[in-house]
This record gives sequence, C-alpha cells and structure tokens, in this order.
Amino acid sequence: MIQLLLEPFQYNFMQIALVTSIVVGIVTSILSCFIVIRGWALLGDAISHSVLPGIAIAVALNVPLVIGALVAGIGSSLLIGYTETKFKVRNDTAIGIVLTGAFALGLVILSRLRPTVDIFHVLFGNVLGVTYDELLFTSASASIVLIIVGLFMKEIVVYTFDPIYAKVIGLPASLIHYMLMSLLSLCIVASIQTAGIILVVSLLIAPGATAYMFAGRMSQMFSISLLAGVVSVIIGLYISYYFAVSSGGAIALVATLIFFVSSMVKLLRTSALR
Amino acid sequence: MSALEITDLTVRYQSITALTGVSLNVKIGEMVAVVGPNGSGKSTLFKTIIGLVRPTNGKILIFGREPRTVRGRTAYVPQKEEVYWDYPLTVWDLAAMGKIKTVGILKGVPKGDRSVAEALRAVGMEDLAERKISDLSGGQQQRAFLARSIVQGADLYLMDEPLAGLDADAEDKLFDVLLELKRKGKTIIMSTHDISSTLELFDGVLLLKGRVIAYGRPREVLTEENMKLVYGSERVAMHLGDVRRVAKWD
Repeated sequence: MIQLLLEPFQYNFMQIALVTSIVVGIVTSILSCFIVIRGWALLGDAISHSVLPGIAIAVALNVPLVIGALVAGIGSSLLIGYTETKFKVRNDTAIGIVLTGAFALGLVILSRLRPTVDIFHVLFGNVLGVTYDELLFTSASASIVLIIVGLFMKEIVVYTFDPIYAKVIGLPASLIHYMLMSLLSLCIVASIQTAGIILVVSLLIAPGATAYMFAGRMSQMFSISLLAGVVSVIIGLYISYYFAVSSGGAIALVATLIFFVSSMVKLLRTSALR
Repeated sequence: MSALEITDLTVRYQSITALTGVSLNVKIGEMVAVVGPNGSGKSTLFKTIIGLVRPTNGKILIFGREPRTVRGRTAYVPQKEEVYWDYPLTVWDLAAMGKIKTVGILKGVPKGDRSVAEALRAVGMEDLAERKISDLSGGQQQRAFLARSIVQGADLYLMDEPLAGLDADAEDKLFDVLLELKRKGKTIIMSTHDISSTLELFDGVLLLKGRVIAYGRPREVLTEENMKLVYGSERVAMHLGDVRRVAKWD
C-alpha cells in the first residue's frame, strides 16, 4: 500500500504536480467558502470562462498570460454588474450572456492561434506537465491571494455578510467587491495548469459547499473546506497517474464525489436523529 | 440640536417618485416610528438617510452635520432579507463587527473584548454568544444586530421593519432593549407597517405614503381619518379602534 502511494513520487514531474495541486487546492478552497456563502457559484463560473479571451489576447499580443487573465476576469465582473444594473436584466441572465460571450470570443481567437496554445490544456488542465517555473508562478499567485484574504478577512466578511452595513459605516464596499473578483481571477489563472479554467469551478464550489453543511463558525468552514479541497486534489492526482486520465477531470470528479458523499452522511445522520 | 433633520426630501427613481417633499425633525433621545403600507416609501426614506439612495432634492442633516461626516454614529439594522444568513457566524462574531472601523486595519477583535461582552449583556444575549446567528429566533436576531450597533457606539439607530414576524414576547424583549437605549440618550427610528398598541411606546409617529400624511404624538397621528387616507380600508380603521382602546387613548 505504502509502495503504491509513494511510487508516483519517485518522478520529478509527479513531485511538482503534487505541490502545485496542493497549492491550488488550498487557494481555491479558501475562496470557495465566500463563493458558496454568497451564492456566487455562477459568477465564479462566469469569471473562469471569461479568463479565456484574456489568455487568448495575451498570447496574441505576447504579454504574460496572468495580465490578460486578470484584465478579462475583472472586466467581466464589471460588465456583469453594468449589464445587470443599467440594462435591467436579472443577475443570472447578465452572467449567462457575459459568460458565453466571453468564452466564445476566447475560442474564436484561440482557434486562430491553435498551434501555439493547447486549448484542451487551458480548459481542462494538465497537471502532469507542470514545469518548475509554472509551479513558482502558481505558488506566488496563490500566496498573494491568501495573504490579501488573510489581511482583510474581517472587512471581506463584513462586506459579504451585510453589504449595506459595510457601506453605512463607510467601508469601501465596491473596492472590496472588485478586490474579491480580482483575487478570484488570479486564483483561476493560478489553477489553469492543474484543473483548467472550466474544471477549476468545481474546486471553487464543492469544498465550500461540503464545509457549509458541517460548519458552525467561519474557522470551521475554512478548515473543512481546506481539508475537502486538498484531499480532492491529492486523490485526483493519484487517479490521474494510475489510470492515465485527465488530471483536471479526476480532481473535479473527486471534489464532486466528496460533496455528494458528505451530503449523504449528513442526510442519514439528521434522519437518524429524528 | 436634532438627531435627524430632513428638509423637503424628494426621491425619484427613473419614472417613479418614491418620496415627495418629506420634512422631518427628530430630537436626540426620541423614539420615532415610521408607519405606512408596503410601497409607501419607508425603505426609500431609510436608504436615503443612510446614504444608499441619492435624494433628487432636499437636505438631510444627522446631528446637525452632513451624513457622510458622521458615519460611525449612525447604525442601521437591516431587513431580514438584506443579509446573508448562510454565514456561519456566531452572535459574538456579529457583535464584534461593530468594532471594524475602530480596531484598525489588519487586526482582529480580541475574544475577551469588553465592549462586545457589555453589548451582548445589554441586549440579553450573553448566554447565546456562541450560537450561530441562523439558529436564532427573529427577535434574537434583531437584538444581536442591536448589539453590533451598540459596539459601534452609534447614537442614531435606524431599524427597517424590525417587528416583522416577531411574536409578542420577542417584541417586548426588543422594546426593553430599545427603551434602555433611549434612556441613555440614543435616538431610535424604526419603520413598521403594523399598526399595533406598541406604537404608544414611541415619542412620535410619522405616517407616510409617498409624502408625510401626519407627524406627531402617536395618539394624535393614529386617527381614523389619517388611517383611511393611508390604508384606505375600513378594516384597518376598525383595527385602529382596538389599538386606541388597548393604548387607552379613547
């Protein structure tokens, strides 16, 4: 058994893959808590899709991917807000329109540049192909996200819990909102290699959703979410290695399974108590 | 000096005029109810006072100053739908939010903080400090939000429909806290669409229906004539008879 667990990590690429995945698991599961509580699941999905044209344009202009992705992520959250308030459409309609529109734009641009970018990897990740430099980039982005969330935790909690109160006492509510959207975009960019921009959404929702069922306070919410997220990426990585399947797919699948299994446990437990 | 002074306030949203020419003067230490049916502009009035809605016309002064400059002194207790109850926050966490502007950036509120403990005692929630807010009853939730406002050190309390869905016992407990705050010189303004005998506890009642129908002592404002103007129904007018009898005005 131990042999089976250790065997993959005699290879350097697997060691890098493991560390990268864990970093991604940590940063996504922390943001996941806010996304689930605030009902931002669809918004997270939209931002991750919108990152695609940013990446495509960055490739075309030969600028760092992270810049394109950040601009696109923040731009799309602004566009969603604008569409919703100015054109008076429902929030989910605004998200749906921006999400598909942005994704289509990215696809159109990338299909012109196909030889230089593997679109399959951008969409679904390829953690086994992560280089050392990419690991450093992922770790740096994740650290920035975690440090900012840590430093402004109480402001973020107040704004996300009671946005009106935040405005009344004079907190910079829109600044906090767009800071969160930027962190989300950065987190998605950091996760491209591991899970891809489509499947990262599962890591941004499932761990928080799992934690939400059991947590009585914020600290528990974060710890359970972290546990669920990190366990998902590690098991996903093993599955990907042993069965030679898509890493992003395996990770997202494990995160989803963990959510459903814990839901069942919770359901059985509450009905047993009754 | 007045706690709140509104002069000729008009609020228009695109084609809808929510408030027209509202003037109101609430003295420090008064408890005032804003009464009117749904859609009468109560929430708009509150949102304009706290600065979420820009007035089309008119002026608002809080403690004689521009609202922007006295933000920490105004507390707002939101309607139930306006906050995200899914948050796994405890009563203590909620009350401690009141310190967010004073504790300083990058710092947390220490668990043994005196002002938080005192505020929880003032609202009678010290035993529920570790309770999750979503597990509280409606009345307890209102009092937990009041604890946050007390921690904040607010002098003007604005409460939007705090009585909605409360039973008589929860209402009594809430008013115990409010009357104690009033005794300490705090000003309280509360909106309600419910005409009940609790209105006799207020110093003033503002009857609102897009404009001020009447403003004054409860027994002077809550007359059959005014009720018909605002609610337009015989049933409310009949109900008013009961209220006036319980409050011993007639």
